[in-house]
Amino acid sequence: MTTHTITKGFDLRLAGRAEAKLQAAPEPRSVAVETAEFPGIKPKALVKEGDTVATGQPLFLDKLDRDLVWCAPASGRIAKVEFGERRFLLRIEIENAVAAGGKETFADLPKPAGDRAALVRAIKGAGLWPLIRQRPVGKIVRGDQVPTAIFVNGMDSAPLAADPAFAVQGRKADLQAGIGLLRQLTGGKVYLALRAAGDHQSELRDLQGVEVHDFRGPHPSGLVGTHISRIQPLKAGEVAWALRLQDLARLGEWARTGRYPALTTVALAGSAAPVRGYFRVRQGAAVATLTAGKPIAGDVRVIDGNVLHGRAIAADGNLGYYCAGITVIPEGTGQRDLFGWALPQFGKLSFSRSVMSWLAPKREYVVDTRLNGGHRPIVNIGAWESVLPLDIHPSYLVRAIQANDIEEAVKLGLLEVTEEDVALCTFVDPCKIDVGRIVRQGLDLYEKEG
Amino acid sequence: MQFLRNLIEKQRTLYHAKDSRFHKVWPLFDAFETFLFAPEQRAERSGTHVRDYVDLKRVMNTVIVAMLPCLLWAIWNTGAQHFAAWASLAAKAVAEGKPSPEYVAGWLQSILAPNVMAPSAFDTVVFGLQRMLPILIVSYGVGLGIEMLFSVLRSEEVSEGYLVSGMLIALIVPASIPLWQLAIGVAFAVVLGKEVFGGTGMNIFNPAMMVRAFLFFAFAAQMSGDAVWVAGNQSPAGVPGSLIDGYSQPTALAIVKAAGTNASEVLAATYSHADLFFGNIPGSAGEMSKLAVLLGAFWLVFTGVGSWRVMLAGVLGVLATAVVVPVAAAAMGLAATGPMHIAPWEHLLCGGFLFGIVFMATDPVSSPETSTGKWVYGALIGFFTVLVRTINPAYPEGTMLAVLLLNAFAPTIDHFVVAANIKRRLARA
Repeated sequence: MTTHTITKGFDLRLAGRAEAKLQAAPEPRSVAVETAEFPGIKPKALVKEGDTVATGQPLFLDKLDRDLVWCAPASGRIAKVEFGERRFLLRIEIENAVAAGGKETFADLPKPAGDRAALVRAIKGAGLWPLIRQRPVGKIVRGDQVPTAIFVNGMDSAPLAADPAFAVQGRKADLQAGIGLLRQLTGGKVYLALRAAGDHQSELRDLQGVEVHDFRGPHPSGLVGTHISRIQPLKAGEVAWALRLQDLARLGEWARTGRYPALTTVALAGSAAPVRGYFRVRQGAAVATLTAGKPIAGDVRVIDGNVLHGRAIAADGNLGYYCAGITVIPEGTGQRDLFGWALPQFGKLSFSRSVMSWLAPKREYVVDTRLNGGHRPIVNIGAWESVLPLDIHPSYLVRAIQANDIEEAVKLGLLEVTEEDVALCTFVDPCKIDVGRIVRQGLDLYEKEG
Repeated sequence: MQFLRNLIEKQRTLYHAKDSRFHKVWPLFDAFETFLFAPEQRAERSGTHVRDYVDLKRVMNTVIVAMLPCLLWAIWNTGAQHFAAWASLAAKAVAEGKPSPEYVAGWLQSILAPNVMAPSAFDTVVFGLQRMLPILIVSYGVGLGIEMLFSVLRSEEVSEGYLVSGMLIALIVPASIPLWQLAIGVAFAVVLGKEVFGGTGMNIFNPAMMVRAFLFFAFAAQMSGDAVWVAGNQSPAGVPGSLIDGYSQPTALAIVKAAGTNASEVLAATYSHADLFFGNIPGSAGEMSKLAVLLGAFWLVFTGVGSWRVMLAGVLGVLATAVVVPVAAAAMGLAATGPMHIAPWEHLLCGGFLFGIVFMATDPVSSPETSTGKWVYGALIGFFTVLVRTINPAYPEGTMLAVLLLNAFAPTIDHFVVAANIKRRLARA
């Protein structure tokens, strides 16, 4: 075991941590799968409104790779199939028969057997392939390049994020089965990154077939981009695969039971969340399923993910395919601070000591979604560099992308980051530049030109 | 407060919409509005949902706060130097048996008349304000005016960069400067040094240093020599400026420049180390008190707004160069000059180097962005400062030239650091 210490970074001390208590959420009346979560796919619906589906039955496939399907997370009648412009499939909603007193039926899924190619096809056919994401670029794995290594992320350092180690407690057999699959998929090593001296790890440290690396330090010490850079940086042309510990457990569950792993563990957190804790809940359930009827109302933003990297969903929206945590924070509509820039501001969260909150180092902050400033050209006071633990010069990377010079951007390390890795740069920037969006534009352009 | 908000919201309709009556000057309204109330934008609904409380206004404000000790000292010492000079002139006249010269009062003193022969602290401050206020008003008025004009032309939000430049400019010119010269200098630097490159964030040279360089070469008589460092209320025949007729006092560096191998003693005979450190000396408004500069440096480094790397590298660069140059000059057979014969640390006490390295060299836009680059850049500023001071026969001070030179080379320095990064990445493959 190796311990890596990350020094550059920042932990946002936010109020509203999820209580470390796991409870079962009630069965949702309906569940939904949305295609917006999977950029780059061309979905083709395999069901129509009124059909009855079993849990694990394919709902749609990707026309770019017809083996790749997404499965129903519940049994019941298809309530809605929504299309957007040019009949682009947006969303499929299923009425959950179990909530109406019915029984859950399970579709026959392909089994993990045979050679590597058969295993890949099986995972795709079981609707679990999107759980694995490819570095560089950080999207669904395309093509048949064998990964140099697979990185399993057993920690999450993002603000208020769910602790993966807590979320998979008691699922050692699933994890071990999942590792077995991963080892067939790569000729290289399978790494497991864990928080140094973290809780709930006794089972994890006994897992066979993985090389455990410990990480300590502030966010982004828990991001896979950081882990890859410290454990085994990719050479040109190499790819690595990455997945989270919770997703490994889902893979293993499928391998052991042959059923679609429809239940996931989701943490509900954030200063504006009506209740906070961990829930065992059906994939695609409405957010309200977690709050025991207490509505999430008012001027709030519900984020699937965390405040640094996530997707805002409607207050009555559904948990995403990847959802491991929901963060609810105030939106801050219409609130404008008088002389906000000039007053000392003892109660505002900041990386910089020009905001006087450093006087209260233990305080937890309620933060809303305001930018707290206007957009400006890049004035680099070194803030980006102090929160990015990678060997990258972020301002030069950003300028290369803005100049559409992708060749230069790749030389400067574009392929070592995703928007998640530079989210802290976006947070700390006094010029309010959305570094993550720029990096994603660069990666999109790279994919198009590559 | 709500009343103010309502009032502004009502006015806003006149400016905001594309077809509203005064939409052309929307950037001005926006600048005014966001000066009062933080802007209302919120984070996009995907990606990063929360933002740091810091914005560019606060960053600039932090630098201004860091300059306040220098400004306050400038106001005090401009007055103190003035009255001390006047007293010495009067004493000299008495000693020579001539009639005491007649004191001419300035605009503020005509309301608050000073006791010239025994000025109170109040009189001292009044004189300091009488010089510094118009300089600040001209610097900010002309500079911000041009910035706003360009913002309107570009339909962009007014950037806050000039808030710092305006104060810097006031602190790096002699308090005796004629205001029209200052106005021309500011206009030149803001238009040709900044706006033609695209405004805040795009300029190559530090705009405030551009002002000084312009004035230095265009109006050398008001920016150098022995006569201009103590302000007065007179404009001697043929010499524009606010001076004391017949009074001149060389700066520490000029004294050193004129001295020989005993430069340290010659300097000590005029200014003690304490005078140099605490700022009881004539000079440009802000550079005088090293203590005030250090207070500002501490604040900049503590808040993370100013780069400690640049500052430390600069100081080390000065010390190292000051040690090496006399040895190298002797080895090369160059003539020994006064500045080679002061202690290396005396280079820090004399002239504007500390002010320059703390407030001018650390400008994030015109300095390198990489950490390694900052070390190189700072060290080279120190090196060239001492080189100009010791080797150049004409200029006693080298900070301005060194900062501008390294501003020009900042992208080059970064280029090599970034190229090394690329090479490391390729080496992995």
